[in-house]
Amino acid sequence: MNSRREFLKAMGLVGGGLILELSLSGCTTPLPHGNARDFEPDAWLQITPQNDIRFYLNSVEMGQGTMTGMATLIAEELNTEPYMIEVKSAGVHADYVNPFYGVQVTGGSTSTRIYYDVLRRSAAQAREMLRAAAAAELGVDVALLEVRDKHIIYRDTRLPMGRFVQAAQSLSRPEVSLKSERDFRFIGRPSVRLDGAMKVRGTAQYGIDVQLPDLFTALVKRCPVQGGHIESWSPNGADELPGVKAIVPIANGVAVVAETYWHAQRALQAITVSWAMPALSQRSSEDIRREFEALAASESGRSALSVGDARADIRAAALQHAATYRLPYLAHATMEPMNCTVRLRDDHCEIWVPTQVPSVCAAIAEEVTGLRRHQITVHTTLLGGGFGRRLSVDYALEATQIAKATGLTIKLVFSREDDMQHDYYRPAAHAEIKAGLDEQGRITGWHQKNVNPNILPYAFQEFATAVLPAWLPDGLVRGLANLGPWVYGTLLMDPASTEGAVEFGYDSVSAEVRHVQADPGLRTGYWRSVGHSINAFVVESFMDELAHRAGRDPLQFRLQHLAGNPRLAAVLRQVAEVGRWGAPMEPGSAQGIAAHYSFGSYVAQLVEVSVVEGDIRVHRVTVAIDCGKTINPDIIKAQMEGGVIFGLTAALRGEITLQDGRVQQTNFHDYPLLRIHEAPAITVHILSSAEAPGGVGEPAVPPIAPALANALFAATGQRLRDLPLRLS
Amino acid sequence: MPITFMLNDRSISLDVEGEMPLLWALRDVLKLTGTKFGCGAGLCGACTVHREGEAIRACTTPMSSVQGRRITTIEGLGGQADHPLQDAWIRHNVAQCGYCQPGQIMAASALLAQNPSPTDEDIDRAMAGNLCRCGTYSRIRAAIHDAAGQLQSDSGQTPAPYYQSNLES
Ligand code: FES
Ligand code: FES
Repeated sequence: MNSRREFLKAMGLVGGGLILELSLSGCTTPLPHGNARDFEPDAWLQITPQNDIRFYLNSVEMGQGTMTGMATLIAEELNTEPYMIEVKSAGVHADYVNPFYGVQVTGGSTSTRIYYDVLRRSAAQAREMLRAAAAAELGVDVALLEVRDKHIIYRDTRLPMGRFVQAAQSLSRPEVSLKSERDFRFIGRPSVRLDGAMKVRGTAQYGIDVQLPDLFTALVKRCPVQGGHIESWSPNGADELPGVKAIVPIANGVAVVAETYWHAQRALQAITVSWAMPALSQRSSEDIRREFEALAASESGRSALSVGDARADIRAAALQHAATYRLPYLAHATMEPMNCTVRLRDDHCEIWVPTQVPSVCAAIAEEVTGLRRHQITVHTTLLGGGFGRRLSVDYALEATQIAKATGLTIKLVFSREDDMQHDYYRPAAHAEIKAGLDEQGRITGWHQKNVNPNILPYAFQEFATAVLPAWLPDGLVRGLANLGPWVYGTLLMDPASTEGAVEFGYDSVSAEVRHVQADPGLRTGYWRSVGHSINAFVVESFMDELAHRAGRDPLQFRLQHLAGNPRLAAVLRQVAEVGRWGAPMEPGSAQGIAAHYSFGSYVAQLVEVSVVEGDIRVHRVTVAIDCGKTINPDIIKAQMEGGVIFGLTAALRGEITLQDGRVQQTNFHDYPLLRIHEAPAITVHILSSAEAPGGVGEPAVPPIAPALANALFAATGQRLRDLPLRLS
Repeated sequence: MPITFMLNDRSISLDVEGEMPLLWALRDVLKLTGTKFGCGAGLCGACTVHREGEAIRACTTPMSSVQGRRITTIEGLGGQADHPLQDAWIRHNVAQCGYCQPGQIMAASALLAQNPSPTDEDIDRAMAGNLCRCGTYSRIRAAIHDAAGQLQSDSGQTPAPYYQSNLES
C-alpha cells in the first residue's frame, strides 16, 4: 500500500494535479539525523487540473483568523485573490507526525509568525513551476507570462492555471525570489474573512455539529472534585429511561449514551455515584490563599532571572516600596463546550474533534484503543473558541474510552456545568514584589517572587505520548509521561509561571525573579496569554505604584525606564497621543495606562473609567500595537478588540473559587462574561514596522487589567491589588 | 402524539416528548445544527430562534409550547438569499470563532423587525442576553446600524466593506 497516496486520499486531497508538500515547522529539508524518507510534510498546497486551488492546513481556526491569514500569504505569491483559495483542515494521520518535530499544535500565537516565509516560498515555487510549464507548452519566453487570479496571462490570452499542472508536476521545485513588498496586493491590507459567510449562515461545522450514521450523544457524570474516583455506582433506573443506549463506567466517571443530549442529560441525573475523594477535597479557596502566603514567607523558590544583586540594591536605595498581588483561578469558558466524536472499528479509529492539538488526540486514541498510529485518523473541525482550553485533551480521552466500552459511535458533549467545573484553570497566583528608587526616581533594584502552580506537570502528562518517539514501548511512554509532574514540579522551572516577568523590560541596575511551586491539586492549563496574564498585572500595576511614589507621571516614569526598549516606548507614546493621555476628565472619571511585550508583539493600552456609586464603568480603551509586519490589519484589529474584552471580563468578574475542593461556579450566572452593554468603545492603532511578524491572538489580554486598575487608582485613590477588581 | 409546527416556512410533525427542549429537537432530531448550544439555561443566547417572529431561547422552550406555532432558525432566516444582517456581518468581519453569531443574528433580526432604526441603547437592551466570548460586541453594534441603514435606504446597492473607511492606521 502506498501510504502517502492513501493519506492524501483520506484527507480528501482528491483530484490530483500539482501538490506541494510543506513542512510548517520551518524545516523544508530532511532532518540531518534522518534520511530522505523522514521528510514529513504537515500541509499541502494543491492546484487541480480543474483549476481549483486548495490549501490543507493543520493549524486550526478558532476565531483568530488563521484561515484568512494563511490564505493571504499563499494568495500573494500566487497573485490570486484570497477568496479564490479554498482552505481545508488537513487533520492528522498519525503516520505523518514525526515525533522529532514535536507536537502539532496551534497555540502561542505562532501560526503566522512561523509560516510567513514558508508559505510564501511554497506558493512562489508553485507559481514559477506553472509559469515554466506554460512557457514550455506555449513555446514563449517565460518572462512574458504573468500569473494572476488563477490564470496564466500571455498578452491578451488568459489560460487557466490548471491546464499546466500536469506538466508542472514533473518539474523540480525551483529556487525562487519572493514578491517585493512594494508589489503586495493582499498582504498588509484588510479583506473579508474567508470563514465569515459560513459562520453567519449557520452552515459552519463545529465539533459539536458533527453528524454520522447511528451517532449517539454521551454525557459523563464526573467526580465533583477533580481527581476523585468511583467507589460504587448505580444506574438507579436510568437504564430504563427512554432513549438510553448504554451506561458505562470510565476512568473519570459514569457515562450515559443516549439518542439525544436531552435524553442523556435526563438519565445522568438519575445515576448515583459514591466517590473516593482526593486530597483536594480538604481545601477551599481561603486555605489556598493562606498556603500561598505562608510559602511566600518560608520558601526562597527557584531563580528565573538574576541580574546583579537586587536585594542589596533595594536595601541601599533612597526609597523602597513593596506590594503583594493576588490573582484567582480562571476558566476558559469557550462558547462551544468541549466535545469529541469517535467512531471505533476493529482496525480503525476515526475522531472528529475541535482541538488545538490533533496529534495529541491521536496519541491518546492509540493508547486507549490499542490500535497503532496508522490506524487512527483525526479530523479537526472548526473550534467554537480555544483560548488554550483545547490544548488539553481530556475530551478525547473520555470519548475514546466511551466508544471502546460501548462499541457505539458517540459524540461526547460537556454540559456548560461540566465545562466550567472540569476545566484546566489559569493558575491562581500570589506575587510579592519590591523595588528601590534612587534620588532621581530611577529604579535601582527589582525583586519579584511568585507562588503559583505550574502548568507543565499537567500538560506534559498529556503531551508526552505524542512527543515521545513512536518506537518507545508503550509502558515506557506512559512511565515517562507520569514522571512529568515530578520533573516539572520539583526539578525544572516552568517558563509559563514567570513569563512576562523574566523579560523584565524596564531599565534597572539589578533584577531578580523567583518562583515557588505550590500546587493544591486543581489542574491548570494554558489560558489566553498564559503567564503574561498574571505577570503583566503585577509588573504594570507596580510600575504605576512606583511612579506615584516617585512623584512622576505614570507615562513619563515608564518612558524614563525604557531607554533599552524602544519598541515598548513607541507603543506607549502612540497610545498616549491618540488616547489623549493627561487630557482633562469629567469628575469621577480617570485614565490608566499599561504596556506589555508578549508573543513577539508590543501592546500599550489606555483606559478611561468612571465610578458611579461604586459601580465601575469602562468607557473607552485605546490600543497601540507593534506586531511587526502586518498581514491583515483588520484581523489584528479584531484580535485587539477581542483580547481587550476577554481581559476586561477577567479583570472585572473572573474568579473560580473552591469549596471543599469543588469548583463553585457552574454557568454564566456565577461566572459572568462581559455583555454588550458593558463593552467599551475600542480604538486600535497599528504601528507600521518592518520587523518579523509577531502574534496577535494573545498580546492584547495582559495589559488591560493593570491599565484598568491604574485608572481606578487615579479615579478613587484605591490601589486594587487583587483580581477581580473590587472597590471597597 | 406528534407535535406539529411550522419550521422555516415548512410544516413539520415530530414524535418527541413534550418536555424535550426545542434546541435538542432541532439539533439532535432534525439535525439542524445552526442553532447552538451554549449554556442550556437561558443565559447565553447561543440558541436564539424566532417564535412568531419573536426571539426566544430554544434551550428553555419545551416542544409542547411550539405546537401550532411558527419557528424560524438561522437556516431559514433569509429565505433564499442572505438577510441584510448576515450581509452586514460579513462586511464588518464580525465573526471570530463564530459560534455565538447565529444566535446574535437571530436576536438582532427580531430587534430590527420591531424597531427598524435602533439606537445604541436599543441595541444594548435587545442584545444583552447574547454572550460573545470572542468579544465582537463593537462590530455587532456597527453591523446592526449598518443593516438598519440598508433596510431603510433600500438602495439595492451593496456598500463597500466597512474597513475601507473605518480602519485606523
Ligand atoms: S444555550 Fe440557550 S441561552 Fe444558552
Ligand atoms: S465569535 Fe466567538 S463567541 Fe462570539
